[in-house]
Order: sequence, then C-alpha cells, then structure tokens
Amino acid sequence: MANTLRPYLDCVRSTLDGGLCVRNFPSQTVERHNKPEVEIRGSKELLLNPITICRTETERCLIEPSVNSVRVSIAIKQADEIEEILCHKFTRFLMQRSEQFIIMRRKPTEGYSISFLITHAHLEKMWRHKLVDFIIHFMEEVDKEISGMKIAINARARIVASEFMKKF
Amino acid sequence: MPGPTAFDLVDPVKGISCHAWNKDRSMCAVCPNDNTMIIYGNCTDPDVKKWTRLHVLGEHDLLISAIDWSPVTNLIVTCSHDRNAFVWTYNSTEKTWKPSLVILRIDRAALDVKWSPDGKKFAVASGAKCVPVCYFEKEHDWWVSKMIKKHKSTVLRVSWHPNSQMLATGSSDFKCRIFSAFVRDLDLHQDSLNFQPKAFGEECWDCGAYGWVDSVSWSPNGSTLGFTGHDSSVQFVDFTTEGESATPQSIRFRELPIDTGLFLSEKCYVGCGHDMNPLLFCKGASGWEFVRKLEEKKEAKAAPAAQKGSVAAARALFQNKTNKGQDSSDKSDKLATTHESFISCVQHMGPGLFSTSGTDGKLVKWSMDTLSVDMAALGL
Repeated sequence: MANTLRPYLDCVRSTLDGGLCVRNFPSQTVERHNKPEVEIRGSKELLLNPITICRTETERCLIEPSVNSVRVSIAIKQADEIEEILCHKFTRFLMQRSEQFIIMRRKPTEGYSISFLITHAHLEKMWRHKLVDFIIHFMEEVDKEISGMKIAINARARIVASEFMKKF
Repeated sequence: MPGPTAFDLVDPVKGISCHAWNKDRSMCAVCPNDNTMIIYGNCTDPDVKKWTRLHVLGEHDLLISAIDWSPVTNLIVTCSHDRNAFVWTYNSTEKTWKPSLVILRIDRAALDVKWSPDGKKFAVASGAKCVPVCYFEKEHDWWVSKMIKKHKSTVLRVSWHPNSQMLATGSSDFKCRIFSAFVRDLDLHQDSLNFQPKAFGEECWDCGAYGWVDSVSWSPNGSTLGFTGHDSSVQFVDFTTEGESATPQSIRFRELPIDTGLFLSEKCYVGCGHDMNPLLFCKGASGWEFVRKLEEKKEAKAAPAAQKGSVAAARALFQNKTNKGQDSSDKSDKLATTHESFISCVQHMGPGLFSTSGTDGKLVKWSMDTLSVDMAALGL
C-alpha cells in the first residue's frame, strides 16, 4: 500500500508547491473587491489549468490554481457502503467546523469529499511549506482514520452479534 | 558581515507590501500591508532598533500596493487598491508630509507606480486594464493623467526607460508591451530609441509570454529589457541595434517564478519572488544565463541518528516528513533562506546593492560583494 501512497503524496506536494505561487490580486471586474478568482471564475486568463492526480479510480486530488487562490479538492477512498457512510459523516463533522481549519471550504466541489481554498491572505500569514505539510498530513491521516473507524465498527458488530446469539 | 542583512521591521503576520528609499538611502518608506505608510529615518544603522519612526501617513482607504520615492524631486507617490494615488510633498518648516490627491480616472485597483527617471511624470499600473501617466500642470496646480489603453487584462507592473519617454508594461494577458509616453509639453525632444516615433499611448513593441508577466525592468542605460513570466521564465530583449524587430532571449529555470526583478548593471539581473531566494542572471559571451541562487544552502551534516537503533531511525523518518524545504541541519522550523515568505518588492540601493521585502515583515539588504559572487562577471 505504502508503495503507491508515497508517489501519490509526493506528486500532490510538488504540484502544490508550484501552484501556491499566488499574489494579491484585486478584482478586475468588480470595483474595490478582492475575491478568490478560482471561485469567481470571472476572467479565464487568470485561471491556470486544473490538475487531477489519481491514485486509484476513487482516490484522487484536484488542484485548481489561479492568480490569487488555489482550490484543492480531495476524494477520499470509499471501497464499500460502510466507508461511504463513515466518510460522509467524518467530512461533514469537519466542514461544519471549517473556520477552525482556516483554509477548509464549507462545501466540497462536485464529485469530491472535501475541499480546501487557499488564498494569498493565508499565505501572507502562514508559511507555505507548513500549509503544504498540513494538506499532505491530512491526506495521510484521513485514510487511517476511516479505516480505523471501520475496524472499530466491525469489532463492535461482532461483539453485539455474539451477545445476541447467546440468547438462542 | 557576510551574506544578507535582515531587518525585522513589521510583525511577520502582517508583512510588508512594498518599500522605497530616498536618494541617499537614509530614509525608508514602508507599507505594513495595510492602508498606512510608515517613514523610517536613520536607516543606515545596522541595528533596526535604532531606526526612528518619523511619520505614519494614513490617507488611503485600502492596502497600499506600491510606493515610489523620486530621487530628483524628493516626492513620494503611493497608489492603493482604493483606486487613488497620492503625491506626498515634504514641508521642511512644519516637518510634515502633505498629501495631494491625484485623479487617476481608473475604476479598479492600482497595482504599481513608478516615477519617471526625470521625476516629471509617473505611471500607474491598474486593474482597469489601462495605465494612467500623470504629470503636474502648473496653471491648474493639479496632477493630470493621460491614459494608455490597449491591455486585455490587469496591468501588473510598469517600468520607465531611462529617457523617461518609453514605458514598458507587464500584464496578466500574457504580454509585455512598450508604449510611447512622450508628452509634448514636458519632453521637448522626442527620443524613441530605434522605434518609429509614435504619439503618446501608441504601442511600439509587444511580446507574448507563457504566463502572466509579473515583472518588467529596463537596464540602467536602457539597452536591455527584462521581463519574467509566471511559467518560471525570464526573457531579455536587446534594443541597442534593433527596434520593432528585436526578439527576446528566453531562459527557463527550475525554481519558482520571479515576481519582481531589477538590473544591477548592463550584465547582471536579479530576480526575486516565490522562491524566497534571489536568482542571479549574468550576460556572458553567449548571451544571458542563469548563474545561481544568491543564498546557498548550508552543507547538510551527515545524519548520525541512523545508527542509534530502530527508534531513532523511525523518529528520523517522521522528522523527514515535515522538514521539506527547510534547512535539514537544524531541527527547528526555520527555513534555509533569509526570507520566509515570497518577496514582493525589490529596490535598487546603489552599485551592487539592493533591498528586498516580503510578506514575512522583513526588509533585507543585499550586497553583492559579500555573497561570494564572481564580481568581474557582474560588470558593476
């Protein structure tokens, strides 16, 4: 497993390194506004080509850079129905608290489990390499977290079932 | 003292959006990433605590995006995201800076401002896809602006030719252009280099790039134009013999893109930006080439942890995961470069000297003769 995870994360890391070259860029369509161009999509010359990095069919990462912001969307591995439910609950829990994660978006982009929006203001306050480290760390941990929860659910189900079966 | 000297002027969370020096570099105007401009005195002192905060000037409503201090007239011009520019005049009897508002006639943010080398005009880059060129009209006691249009997207950077009549612009429509900024009342004799003489606002030359043109700059005598693209490239154009037909020499490098650059001499160009480490380009016999990053990484010491058993090895494994891009020889969170964030402003300070500032709140002075560079190749 680790053999394919490492190049996947390395690829995401180097793409983010290049993609996070953003600058303070006030809106050229609305007066006195300064908005992430990747969300507004007002002028196509300010958006760069989006990059999708796939590990498997279900596990992939979409990086959309623009002149003053980068959107990173992650599709978390969901092999069966339990994992789908777990992933949905887990990301919902995180996204309801998205202010605490600063760069997290309240809603994921279409087709992805969770999204981050990094603007130039975040990069002015935080170190770029630490932000990249955070996203990589998140991607590593979320898989572990979900498979850990799945094992816990299965173990609990087994105990419940065996207790129940004792009655007969 | 070897290497660059860093001055922690502003809180790293706030950062510096731009800075400018006066003529003898004893005073420095800094914008701490908000709507104020702070003027420091006694700036030749190596200890930043001895710098004196002389004036705090807050006339703008939004972030000040650029400051320029003319060495000829001692006037400061600031421009801001609130669409305005102010020209500040020093009143030596009252010891205050008096602002005068310039009607730029733009309806989007202003992004960059530069005095012409003769100090009579200044040009403002704006998000309104045009460049106002402003000059003082005595009979009205008023700064008036004339527009250069023809851009298809935000103008990110402007640069004046030393003759104060040609203006180079870099825009996010992937093009670098040269315009005539000849104003008949101010500039008596038109000097249009090797180009056809053109009226004000006419385009003389343009060249495409593969990314947003983040920076443009002219060499000191105006023979070479350097501009950088967001695709990590820098292009040099020689105008000594050719005008319209001049073609750029393009250099691609593997570091992150340059956001702002300047020529230290006719043969030496320094580009700073997202790599946090200034990149040096020199002109040799076969044209321009990338020389090196100005700050070299310290030699990493051989890791002794591997022999101490599996626990230490495992610890080193996890440590390696978090220190990418950092100095591997010390275990702290410090980066190997002096700047910890991207460099947004670079200013010339004299022969072989320049200063940079970035969003990490640091102002760094660089002296080429302390950086173990081959000085003969620089042609200073």
